Amino acid sequence: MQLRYDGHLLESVVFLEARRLEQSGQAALAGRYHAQRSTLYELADPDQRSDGFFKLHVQWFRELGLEARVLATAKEFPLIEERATSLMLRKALAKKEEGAELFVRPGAKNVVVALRSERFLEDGFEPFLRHEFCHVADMLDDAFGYEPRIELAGAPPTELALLRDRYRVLWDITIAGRLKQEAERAACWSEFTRAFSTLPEERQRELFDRLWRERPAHAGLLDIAKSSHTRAARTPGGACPLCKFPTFDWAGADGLGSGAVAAIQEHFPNWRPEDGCCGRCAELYAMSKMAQPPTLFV
Amino acid sequence: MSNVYNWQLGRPMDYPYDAAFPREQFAFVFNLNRCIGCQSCTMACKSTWTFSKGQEYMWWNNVETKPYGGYPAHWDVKTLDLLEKANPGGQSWGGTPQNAKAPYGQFKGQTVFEAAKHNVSPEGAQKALGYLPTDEEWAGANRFEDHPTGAPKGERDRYFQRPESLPQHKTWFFYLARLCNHCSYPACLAACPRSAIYKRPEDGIVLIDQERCRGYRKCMEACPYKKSLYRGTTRTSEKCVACYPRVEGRDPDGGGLPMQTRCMSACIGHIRLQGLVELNADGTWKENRQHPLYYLVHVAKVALPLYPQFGTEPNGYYIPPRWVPLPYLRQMFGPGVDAAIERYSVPDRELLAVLQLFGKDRRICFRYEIKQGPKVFETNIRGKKFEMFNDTVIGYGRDGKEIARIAVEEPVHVRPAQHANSI
Repeated sequence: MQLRYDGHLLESVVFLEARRLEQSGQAALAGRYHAQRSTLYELADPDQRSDGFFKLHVQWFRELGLEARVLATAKEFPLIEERATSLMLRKALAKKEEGAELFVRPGAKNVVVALRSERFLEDGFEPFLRHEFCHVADMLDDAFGYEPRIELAGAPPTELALLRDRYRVLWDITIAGRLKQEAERAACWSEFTRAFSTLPEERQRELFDRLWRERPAHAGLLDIAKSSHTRAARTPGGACPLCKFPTFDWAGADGLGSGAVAAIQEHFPNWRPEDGCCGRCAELYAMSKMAQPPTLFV
Repeated sequence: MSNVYNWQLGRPMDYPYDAAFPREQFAFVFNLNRCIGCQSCTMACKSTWTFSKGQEYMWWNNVETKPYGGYPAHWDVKTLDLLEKANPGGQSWGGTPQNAKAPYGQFKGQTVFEAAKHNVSPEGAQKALGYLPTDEEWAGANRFEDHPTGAPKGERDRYFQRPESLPQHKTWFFYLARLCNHCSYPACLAACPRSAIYKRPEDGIVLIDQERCRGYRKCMEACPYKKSLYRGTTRTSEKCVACYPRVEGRDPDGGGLPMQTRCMSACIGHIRLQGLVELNADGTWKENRQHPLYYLVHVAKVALPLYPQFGTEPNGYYIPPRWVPLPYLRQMFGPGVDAAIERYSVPDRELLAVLQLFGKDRRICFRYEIKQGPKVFETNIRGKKFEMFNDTVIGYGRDGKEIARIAVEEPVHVRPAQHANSI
C-alpha cells in the first residue's frame, strides 16, 4: 500500500508539533526544524521551493514519529493493507470535514483520510483514526457487503439524506461497540436517540445495545434505517415521487390503470401504486401505454 | 521591556521596544450605528489585495456580527479570557477622564504585554499574551451573521419580554467592521522573532517585510485583534497594508493627494472616515481642533478605540451602536462609552455637521470648516432639547483645497410633473 500526503497537512502538523515541543522545553529540536525551514525561503523558483518544503516536512513528519502513529493504527486493520492501493492523508479545515472515504476505480482502491492539523495533537487521535479505518475496513470487507448508493424509490433528496444520516449513526455505533470505545458510548446514544426519536425508549435501548454488541452487515444496517422510515404522506403541495415537483393534484392507486402502473414501474422499479403520483405524471404514463408507433408515409 | 506612554490607558506601560512615533499616524473612525453589514468593504479589499491562491480564507477587512460572530471565531473572547486568567478580577478601569493624555481615566489591569511577563514557558516569556487560532476558526469568516441575543443569560428557551425596550434593546446585534488597527504599540511587531514587521515613520502603517518573514506565526499569536494571517502558498504572514499607495497619494484618481483606502472608499453606508493625524513627542495626538478625526476622538469624544485594554493603542476608533446594552460596550470600547452614546444620541450642531463628512470623498480630509445655516428642526430626545441647523460642512485636502461640501439637511429634489416617473 502506497502512502501519500497532502503537503499542507504535513506542514501545519509538523509546525504545530514543533511549537508544542518548543513550549515543553525541547527548544533545540524546534530550533533545528525552523533553521532547516528557513533555508528553503532562499529558493527563488516557486516549484522548487514547494518541493523542498514538501520533502522537508515528510522528513520531519517521520522524525517526529507522526507517520509511525498513523501506520501503527492502520496495521491494526489487515484488510486495508491487503486490499487498498493507497492511503492518502489530506487536510480538513473543520471537524465536520474529517473522516475516511474509499474511492474505487478499476484496478485501484484508494483510501483518503481527511484530518484537521490539530487532531494530531489531541488525546483522541488514535481512537479517531481507528474508528475511521474501521469504516474503511468494512467497506473493503466482502462479508460486510457495502454498497455506496443508498436508494429509496420515489424518495425526495431530503428523505434520502435522512436515511443516509440514520445509516451513518447506526454504522458508527457498531464500530464504536466493536472497538470497545466506551468513551464514545454517550455521544453515540445521544445521536441515536436524535436520529430514531420516533421509537419508544424501550425499543431504542434494545436496538442500541444490540448494535453495540453485534456486527450487522451493510444490508442489516440499511434495513434498520429503513424500518423506521416513514414515507412522506401525500400531502397537498408535497413532492411527486416521480417528477419531484410539488403537487396538489394527487393520483391515487385507484386512479391509475394497470397499464400506467406497469409503465411507471418500468422507470421506477421500487415505486408502489400506494405511493401515488401527481396528476400530470399519471396522465403521461397512461398516455405512454396508449401511444402507437408513428405512421410512416413513403 | 521599555516603559512607554499609552494615552488610551492613561498611564505608562511595558512594551518590548522603545517608543517611536511616526510623523503622521494612519487612523480611522467607523460609525457602527450606520453599518448595514453589506460587506462592500470586505469585497473591495478582497478584490484588491487577497484574491490569489493561498489567500482563500484571508480577509484583511471583515465585518462580523456581534456579539457571537468573529473572524477568527471568538477572537476577542479568547484574548479577554487569557487576560482574565492572567489577572483574575483585576481588569478594571479607574481614575477620572482628563485631557488628551488620559481621556478615559486610567486602566488598572494588565495589557497583553504586561500579562505575558508571567506567562513564562521553557522557551522564555511571551512578548505578548495570545493564542494561535486554528484553521477551523479562520474558516468561517461570517459565522453567526445576523444572530441576535435572544434570551436572558442562562435561559435559552425563554425569549426576552419587550426585546425592543429603549434606550437599549434586549434582543440586539450589531455589525463590527474590522481591519488592522496599525497600532502605535503593535503586538505583532513586538513578537516577530525575525524583526520582519515594521511601522513606517511617515504614516505609522504597520507592514510585514515579505523578504524577511519566515512564517513563524508569532505575529498571529500575539496580535490580540488577530489581523495577521498566514498564507500557505508563500509560507509567510500577511496583513492589511492600509492601501499605502493610495495613502501616499500615488493613485492617479487622487490627483496626487492622499486617498482613503479601498475599504473606506467602497463603504456604501458612509460609516467610515479615514485620516492622518499628527502626534506629539509622547505619542499623544497633537491638538488640531479642525481635524475631523481629532474632533471626533478628542473633542466630541464619540469615537472610541476597540478594546483599549489590550494595550496596543489601536488607531481604529468606533462610534458605538446606541441600542446595545452598555456593559457589553464598556468591555469593548472602555469607560468612554456612556458619554459617547449620550453625545451621539443628541448631537450638537458641530457633531452633526462633521458626521456628514463620512464617505463623501475618496481623498483624505485634513481640515474642516462649518458654514452656519438656519435652524430647520427642533425636538426633544429623552428629555433633552435637540436643534438641527442646516449648516454646511466643508472638507479640505492635504493641499488646503476644498474636497467636499455637504449640507446637514439632505436636499430634496422634486421631479417636474411631466417627468414624475422617469429618471
